[in-house]
Amino acid sequence: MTALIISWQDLKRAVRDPVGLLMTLAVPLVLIVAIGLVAGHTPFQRAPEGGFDALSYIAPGMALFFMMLSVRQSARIIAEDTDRGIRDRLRSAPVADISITAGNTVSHIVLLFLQLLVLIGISSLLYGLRWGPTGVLVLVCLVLAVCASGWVALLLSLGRTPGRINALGLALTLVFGILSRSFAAVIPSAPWMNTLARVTPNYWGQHAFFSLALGGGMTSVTHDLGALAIMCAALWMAAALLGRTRSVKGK
Amino acid sequence: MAFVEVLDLRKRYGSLMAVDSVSFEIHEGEVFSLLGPNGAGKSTTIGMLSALIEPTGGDARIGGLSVRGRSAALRRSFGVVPQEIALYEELSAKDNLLFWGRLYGLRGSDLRGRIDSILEKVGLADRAGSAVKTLSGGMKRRLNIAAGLLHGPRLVFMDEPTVGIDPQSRRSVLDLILQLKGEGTTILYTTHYMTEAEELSDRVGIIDHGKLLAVGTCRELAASVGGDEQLRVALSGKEEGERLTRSLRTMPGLSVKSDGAQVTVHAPRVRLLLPRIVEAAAAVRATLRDIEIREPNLETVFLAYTGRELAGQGADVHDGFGADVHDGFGADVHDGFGADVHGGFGGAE
Repeated sequence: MTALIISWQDLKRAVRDPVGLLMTLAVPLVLIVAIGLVAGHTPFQRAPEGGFDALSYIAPGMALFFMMLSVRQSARIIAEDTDRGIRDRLRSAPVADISITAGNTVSHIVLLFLQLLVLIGISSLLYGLRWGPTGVLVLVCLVLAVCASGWVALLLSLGRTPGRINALGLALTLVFGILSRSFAAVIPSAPWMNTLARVTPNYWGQHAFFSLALGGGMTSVTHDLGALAIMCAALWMAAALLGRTRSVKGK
Repeated sequence: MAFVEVLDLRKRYGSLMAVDSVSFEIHEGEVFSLLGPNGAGKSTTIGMLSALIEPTGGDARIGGLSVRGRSAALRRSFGVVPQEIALYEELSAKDNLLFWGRLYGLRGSDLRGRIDSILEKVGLADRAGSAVKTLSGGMKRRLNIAAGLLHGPRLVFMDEPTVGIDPQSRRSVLDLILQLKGEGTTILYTTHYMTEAEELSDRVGIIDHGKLLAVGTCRELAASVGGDEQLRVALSGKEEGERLTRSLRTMPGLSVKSDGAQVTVHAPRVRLLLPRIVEAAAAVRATLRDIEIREPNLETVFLAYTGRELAGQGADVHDGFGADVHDGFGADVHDGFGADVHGGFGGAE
């Protein structure tokens, strides 16, 4: 129950944070609209069947790129709360530590999930982009959001201060974007980059989105969802170990 | 029986002993202040008592409950007012209080009633709907206190709640704390402002380098270090200071120190010697710019126990509570407890 109270509070804050909304929703939406227009789309007209459609290649990568930017934002907000004494005040209240972590995590998952859905929804409504079967698409978005929460936890454990998290988060976003070719998925890359890209959620997310867009169903994304789930578990374990080590060292 | 019992509490960070075998008691309805400079161990002590920091050794009991268990019952028994403004800036004052109240299990009309009442108490009833980020520093401080009081705790930990605010806002925060004291709330207060400790506390603990050096009422502490009064004379120049120092050292029973143009005299009832000191200044042709008499106060106590002044360690001495008295002759006379000292002296030449 207390976890839900904390989640709800986080969501209320997110809605009232104009800078956060600008970065997580407004900027990617403007980019999608702009790229769609450049790619020759006419708003509110269905994309033509067949042929090369730049937006179809770029939109999934962009959605994942901005998801990682939101990961940075989520981690930074928790670090700022710690700096402002909010986390200590939460911990001095009769609330279990696990409820605080769960509350924060659920709100981040909801925000990341909604961000993906809004970007996908707007690109579908505005330019008639085909993303694949809705049910599986929603599941892919949910698993991506859950996996991204692992990156929030790891970023928080590694960075700890808002400034460091900002820098580290931006670096991760850019490196992940480059490795998984978020903005240029059609350009071939070196094999080692493809191999390295597998540590990014962008790689598996993009693969899943493309599979669904090309007519695949649940079976075509099972492999991607499994990889994302394993990544999520590994990230949370790494974050917990790092946190425990620091706690033992008294830092 | 003591409401808070702190028993040999210790906290070590690597090679640093942040809190070193601290023991004290706080009785129900008492305001107990921990006075010390930045880094003395005040916040770490409050952190351990409020179950945020695991002690390295020792224990503390609040209403019989050990802080080591971090039980929900323990955490429900106290309120915390942290040094930081631990509030959600984007949300309104009321939304913040709704959130913190719900975490303490308050719901519905009970919670709403408490919020209205506490906002009235801290003078923010008319700003209930305002986002925290739009409130002034003093208002945020009062709301920060309100969040710690909402669930009606018998004990409140206040960690330097007046840091970084203007004198007027500080006054209103101190008045609020005095009101809580009047209502019988037990308060553990940390500060590096002597004037606050003197004004608010029933008892004070002097803490430095993690060690609790002395505990008692202000008078008990002053008596424990001898209780000499201190008189400081500011002159026009260093040479005048040296001349006056030489002259005063010929008087029996005075301890005289010279620091450039400032001369400090220690004696049991130094104010009775004031006319002779003024005469001595006139005799050596020294121009008095400022005279300050300090009764034995927490500053003298701190100096006696630590060998250094609290002022200059991130603390102030004259922070708007001590009265500056102009006597019409160009000299200002200060008193450490805020009392006025009048003298028909001044520019003796």
